[in-house]
Amino acid sequence: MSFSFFNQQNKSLDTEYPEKVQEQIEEFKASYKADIRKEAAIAERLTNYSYVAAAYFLGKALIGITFNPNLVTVSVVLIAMIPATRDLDGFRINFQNGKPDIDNMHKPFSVLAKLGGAGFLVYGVLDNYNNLKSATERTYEVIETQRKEFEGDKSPITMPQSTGLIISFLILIAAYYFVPKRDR
Amino acid sequence: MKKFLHKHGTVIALTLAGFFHLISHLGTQFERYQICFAPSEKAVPGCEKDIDLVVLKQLYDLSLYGEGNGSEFKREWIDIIKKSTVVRNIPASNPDIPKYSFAVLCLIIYARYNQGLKVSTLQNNYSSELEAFSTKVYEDWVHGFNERKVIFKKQEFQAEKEIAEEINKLRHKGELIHLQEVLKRSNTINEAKFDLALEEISAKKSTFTKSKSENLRDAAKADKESQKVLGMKNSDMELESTTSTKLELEEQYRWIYQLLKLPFRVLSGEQGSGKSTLERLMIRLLKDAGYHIVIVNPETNPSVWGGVQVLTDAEEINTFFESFPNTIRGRKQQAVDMGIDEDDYLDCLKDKSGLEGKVAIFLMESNTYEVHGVDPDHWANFLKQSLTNIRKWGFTVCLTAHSDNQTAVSSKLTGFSKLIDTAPRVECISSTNKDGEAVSSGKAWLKMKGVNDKEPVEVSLYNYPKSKKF
Repeated sequence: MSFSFFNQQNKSLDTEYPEKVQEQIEEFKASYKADIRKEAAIAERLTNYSYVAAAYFLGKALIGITFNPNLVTVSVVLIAMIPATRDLDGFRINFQNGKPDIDNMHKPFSVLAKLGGAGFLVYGVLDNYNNLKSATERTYEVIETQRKEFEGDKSPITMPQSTGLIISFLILIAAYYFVPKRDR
Repeated sequence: MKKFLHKHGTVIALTLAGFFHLISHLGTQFERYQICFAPSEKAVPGCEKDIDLVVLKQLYDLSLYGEGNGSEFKREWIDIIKKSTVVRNIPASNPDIPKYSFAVLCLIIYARYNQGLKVSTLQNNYSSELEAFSTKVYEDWVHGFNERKVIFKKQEFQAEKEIAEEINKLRHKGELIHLQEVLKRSNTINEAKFDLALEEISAKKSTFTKSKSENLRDAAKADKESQKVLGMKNSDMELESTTSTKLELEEQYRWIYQLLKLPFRVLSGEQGSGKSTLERLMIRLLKDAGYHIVIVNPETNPSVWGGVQVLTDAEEINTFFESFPNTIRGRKQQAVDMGIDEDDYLDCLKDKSGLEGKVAIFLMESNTYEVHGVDPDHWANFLKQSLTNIRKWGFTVCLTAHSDNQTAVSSKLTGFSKLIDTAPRVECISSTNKDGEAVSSGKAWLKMKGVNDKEPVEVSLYNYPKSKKF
């Protein structure tokens, strides 16, 4: 969170209030700042939710549009990982004398939880895809058996349209030769 | 409406999003199509059983069935099937799920936007709300303060009123005169108490000063006794006495002035024979004469010396010895530049101080120089230079030696050791006390013509205090 509001330092040069008034003002300030902090935290959480919702929407839409599991997985993972990477802002890891020296890893558990959430989302989308695929295959089998019941041994013979076209061409050529020509 | 949305928009949007998400999962995930391979109205045998189909457009296309020829599956049925497939656009899964999830996404984004607005308005209103609040609180406080003040004043007035009434009553009864007398008496008693207190204070003051002076006297006595016991004198006291006045020697010690006028002299004698006491006396006298004192001793602690320059480090000593001939040369050149006679040069140095002015160099523990890393060449050059008449250039050197063997002082001084032998010297005479330790006898041989002087003069040594602060 980078709300510069809390970094401001307001030093008033006015005469100081009496002690009791000062106490009440300090209390008011503290409660007001706590309010702002709470609302800002909610806003931050909603930002993360909107990324997850976008990933969910994209997954569902892509299964309908292209039936390509790789594309779906990559897109969903990329978007669902954004909340986790937002926590790692300024993250740096280094090895000093064989010991890891970590900077800006303020919320390791939050990062882990968000990564877990992204993984769960991908798992759900892929599960959905697999269900659809197996259902389609079962349908195909049912339709195939039904078709065989109806047709029996007589498999459909299709007459190629090109055959008719070639025959009509041949008739045209024969007519050119055999039909007697009118004298002028 | 706008205010309502601003306040509750986030919650409403989130609730709606959750609602839409639930709705999208209410039905089956797949569209169910009933396809009959023979139209029911024609009652084709084998089509009694309808089948439920879940169809994906991408994998299977029913329109391929139209190419049958001679089978019972008739062409016109295709239209019915096609109609159902084309018109309803065969969905893979519930076609509403992406729509609902898009709605959910939009709602969450709206909720985020609304929340951001909320936060920014809170931040923008912070200063004004704080101002309003503090003004209100301060006004309340001022109001309350004034009320409290009024109540207090009222109570005060009430008390004054009651007192006045009491006094009036007493006046009526004629008891006020008595009261006044009582007041007068109490005043006189107070004054007497005050005088008494003053007297007590002055008495205490006098006793305090008395005890203070007694303490000081005791301390001075204790100091004197400790000096007697330890055989030494308070260095600080000595410092004050030495620096403030010039030392005046008695008749029997006047021989030392003769020694001080020389450019070079040697002090010799055994351990404890009084060499160092004589050195200190010479340092004192030379300092009184306006000399800058340089002590070259690699084995001493510089912090115990005061008012003199002490060289202990081998590098310092080396640079000093190395630059010494150059300094002499520089002074000669200076005399030439100023156009004065070399004998008058000493008068020019009177105004100068430090190494620029008159300098007396004391070479102590000189037989240990080479051991401590002093360059033998520089050291020998320095000795050779100092055996010349350097006094007219404002220098004087005093060499302290334990024995008469000059090669022990400098290994490279071959040929010149005779010069040192012929230099004037003082040989301190030691004697042994009851415990067999060497102590100064207070006497010395003054040999003005060197070691082999056949007419040495016996002189007495001045007992200079042990302080090294000059």
